[in-house]
Amino acid sequence: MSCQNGGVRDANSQGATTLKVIFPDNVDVPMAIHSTVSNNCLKIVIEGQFDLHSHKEFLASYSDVDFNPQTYVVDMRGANYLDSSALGMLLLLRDHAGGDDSKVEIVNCNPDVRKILSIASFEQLFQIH
Amino acid sequence: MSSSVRILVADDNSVDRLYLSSILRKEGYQVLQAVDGRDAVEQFEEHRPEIVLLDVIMPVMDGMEAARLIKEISGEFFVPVIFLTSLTGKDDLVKCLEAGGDDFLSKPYSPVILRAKLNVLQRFRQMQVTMLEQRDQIALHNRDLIRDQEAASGIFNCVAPSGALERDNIRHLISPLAAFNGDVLLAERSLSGSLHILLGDFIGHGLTAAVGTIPLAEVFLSMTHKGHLLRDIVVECNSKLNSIFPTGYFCCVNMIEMNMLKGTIEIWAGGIPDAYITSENGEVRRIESQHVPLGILGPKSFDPSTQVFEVSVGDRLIMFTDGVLEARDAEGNDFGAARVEEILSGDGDIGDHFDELTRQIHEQIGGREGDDDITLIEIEMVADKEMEPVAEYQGAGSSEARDWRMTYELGTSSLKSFHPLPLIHQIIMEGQDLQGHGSLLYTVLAELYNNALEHGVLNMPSSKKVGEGGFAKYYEDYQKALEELEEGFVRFECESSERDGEVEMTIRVIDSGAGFDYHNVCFDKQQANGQYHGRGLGLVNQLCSSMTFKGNGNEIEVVLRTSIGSS
Amino acid sequence: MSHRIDIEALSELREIMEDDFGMLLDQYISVSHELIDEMDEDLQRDDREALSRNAHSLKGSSMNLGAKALAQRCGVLEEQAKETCSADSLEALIRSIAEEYEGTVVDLEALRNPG
Repeated sequence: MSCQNGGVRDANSQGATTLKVIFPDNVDVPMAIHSTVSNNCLKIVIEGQFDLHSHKEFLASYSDVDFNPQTYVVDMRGANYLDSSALGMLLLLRDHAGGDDSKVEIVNCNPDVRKILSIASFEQLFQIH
Repeated sequence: MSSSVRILVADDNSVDRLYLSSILRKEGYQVLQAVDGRDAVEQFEEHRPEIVLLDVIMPVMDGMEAARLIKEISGEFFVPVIFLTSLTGKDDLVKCLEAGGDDFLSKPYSPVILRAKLNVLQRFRQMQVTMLEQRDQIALHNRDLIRDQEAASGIFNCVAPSGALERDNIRHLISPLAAFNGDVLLAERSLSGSLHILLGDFIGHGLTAAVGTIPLAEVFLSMTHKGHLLRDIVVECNSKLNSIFPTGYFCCVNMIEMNMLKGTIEIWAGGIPDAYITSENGEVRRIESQHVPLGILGPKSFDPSTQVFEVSVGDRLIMFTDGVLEARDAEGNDFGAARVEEILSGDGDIGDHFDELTRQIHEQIGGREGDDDITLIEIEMVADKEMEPVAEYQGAGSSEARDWRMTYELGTSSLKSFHPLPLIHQIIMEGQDLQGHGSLLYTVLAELYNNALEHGVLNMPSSKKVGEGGFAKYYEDYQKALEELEEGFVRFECESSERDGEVEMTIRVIDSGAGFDYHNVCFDKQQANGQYHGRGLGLVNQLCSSMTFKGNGNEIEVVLRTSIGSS
Repeated sequence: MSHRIDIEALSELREIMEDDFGMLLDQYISVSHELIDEMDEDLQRDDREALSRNAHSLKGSSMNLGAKALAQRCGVLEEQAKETCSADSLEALIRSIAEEYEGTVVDLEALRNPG
C-alpha cells in the first residue's frame, strides 16, 4: 500500500492525505493562439511559448477555417521561444497552405526566434520579416 | 453496490452503536463495531473498511487520535472519516475537521442525513480509486515505453556501432538520452580514403526521433563505404527521410567529408547550430547552417551544395547539437554561443579547448538530472599516412566471374551530375575474388577518373591545385568548368581474364580531352614529392602492375594482377 | 409527557429498529442505569474527566432515544464537571439526572408499543 512513483503523498500535521500532482517546469506561460481573417489572408497570432503543447491549438487555428486563404501570416510578436516541434508545426501549416506553392509569412520575430528560424534556414521555405 | 462496502462504527455507548449499525445495515452496508479509539484503530488495520464513523469522546483513545492514526495507516488511499458528535460548539467542530475528519454527524441520528453524507463521500472515494488506478496504469505504460526505447537503442547500436567513433583523432560526447532525443553521431571511412562524419538531431522525442536514426545511418554508412560523394549521400539521405517521415518531422544534420590528402573539410550544414574550425595560429572559423534540415524538401527542390574549407594538420572541427547552447544553470540561463566562442578563442593549446568546453558545460548544468543532454564532437585533421587502411566488408558471394569485359561511357550530361566510381567499383568487385583489394581498386579508379575528368575533359592544370586559395579555389573553378562544359566524355573499358593461376584485369580510361605529351614524364619522382598534386598518377603507377599512356595522352591503361584466392 | 420525550426522534428510531425496537429500549434503560452508577463512582474518586465523559455518553444516547430532558441535564453535568465545580454541586446534578432518568423510563415504557 505504499506510494509508488507518480503521485506524491503529502501528509499534513494531522495525518490527512492529499495527492499532489507535479507539473513540469516549462509550463509557466499559458499559450494563446488566435486567428483573424481579412482580405483572403489568414493571420495567426502567437503568444507565449510555442512548443510541444501548442500543437492542438495551432492546428485548430488554421484547419477549422471555412474558406481557403491565399496567404497566411504567422505573427510571432508574443512568442518568446520556439522549439523544434514548433518548427514542425510551421511545416505542417506550410504543407496545408500548398507546400512548395504556399505563401506563408512569418512576422514580428524577436531575435531569439529569428535566430532559430535562421539556423534551420527557414527563410528558404517562408517569407520572414 | 453498497452491499460490498464495509463501515466501521466506533462508539463507547452500545445503544448508539447498535442504533447506528442498524441504520447502516438497512442502507445495505456491512458493519464493523469498535468500543473505543484503540479498538477502532486495530479493527481498521485488520479489516480495512472503506468508511469510518468515530465517536469523538471515548475512553482509552478518543476519536480524534484514532482518526489521525487511521489516516496514517491508509496512506495514499482515501478513507472517509465521519465524526459522531453531540458537540455543538463551533470550536469543537473545527477541531474535528483539523483532526482529519471529513464530515460530522450529530445526534440524534437522522438516517436521511447520514445517507446523503455517505453518498458524497462514496463518490469521492470512488474518484480517488479511479485516479490511483489510472496513475498506476500510466506508470506501467511508461515502463513499457522506456523498454521499447531501450530495445530500439540496442538495434541502433548494431546498425551504427559507436566503435566507428573510436579513433585517435576524434573526441566526442554523446547524450545519454540520445536514444530518446534523436541525437546521432556517425563516423565512417570512405573507400576513397576520406573520413565521413554525420552529426544529426532529429526533431521530436522518444521513438519518433529514435526510429529515424536507423534508416539514416544505413544510407550514410553504406554509401560512404562504397565511396560515394558527400553530396550524393546527402541527397539520398534526404530522399530517404522524406519518404518515411510525415510532414513536420525532420532531421538537422551536419555532414562532413574530411579529406586528409587534399587537406579539406567539405560540409553540408542544415539546421545544426554554428560549428567551428580552430587552428593552431589562433584563427577560429565559423561554419553556419546553410540549408533546410533533411526530410523537408522533395528531391527536386533539395540543394546538396556544400561549403569547402581548407585545413592544415592539427586544425580541429568542433560541432554540437543545440543541447550545448541550451545547457542551463540553476537560474535558468543558457550557456550560449558567445560562451562557446570565448572558450574556443582562448589561449593555450587548441587541443585543450574540448576538455575546457566540456568542463564548463558540466559546471553549468551542475549535475541536474535531465539536462545532461549534450552531444559534442571534435575531429582533428591528421596527415593521410596516419590513417589506417580502410576496412573492407567481407562479402558473402561465392560466385566468381573471371573472364568478362565491360565498356561504360559517360556523356556530357552524366559527367555533370553523376559520380560513377561506386558503380564501376561495384561491377568489378562483384563476382571477383578481389577481397582485400577493394580499397586499392577504388584508389586506382578514382585517380584515373579524376585525371580524365579534371585534366582531360575540363583541361584544368594540375599545378592549380596548390596555389592561391588552395583547394577551396580549385574546387570552385572545377565546379564552374563542369557547369559550363558543352561536350565531353569519359569511357571506362575493363577486361578481366584468368591466366596462369592469376586474375589479370585491364582497365582503360579514355577521355575526350586533348591529351598531353607523356613521353618525358617520370612518375616515380613525382611520387616521392609527397604533395597531392603529384601523387595521383604516381600512386597508380605504384599500385598497378603496369601503367601505360596511349593515344595522345588521353588514354591510360593499367593492369592489375592478383593471385586467385589471395587476399 | 412531551417535555421529556421527543416523539419524532423516537418514531425515527422505531422505524429503523423495527422488531428490535424493544430490545434497544431495554438496552438503553439498562446501560443508562449503569452510566449513572458509574457517575457516582467517578465523583467519589474525583475523576472529573471520567464523569464528564459518562455524562456525555448518556447525553448522546438519550438524544437518540428522544429523551431530550434527560439529555439536557446530562449536558449541564458534562460542562460543569470540566469546570472547577464543587463536589456538592456535582452530586446534586447527578441526583437530578437519576430522578429524570426514572421519569423517562416510565414515559418510554408507555411508548414501548406503537399506537
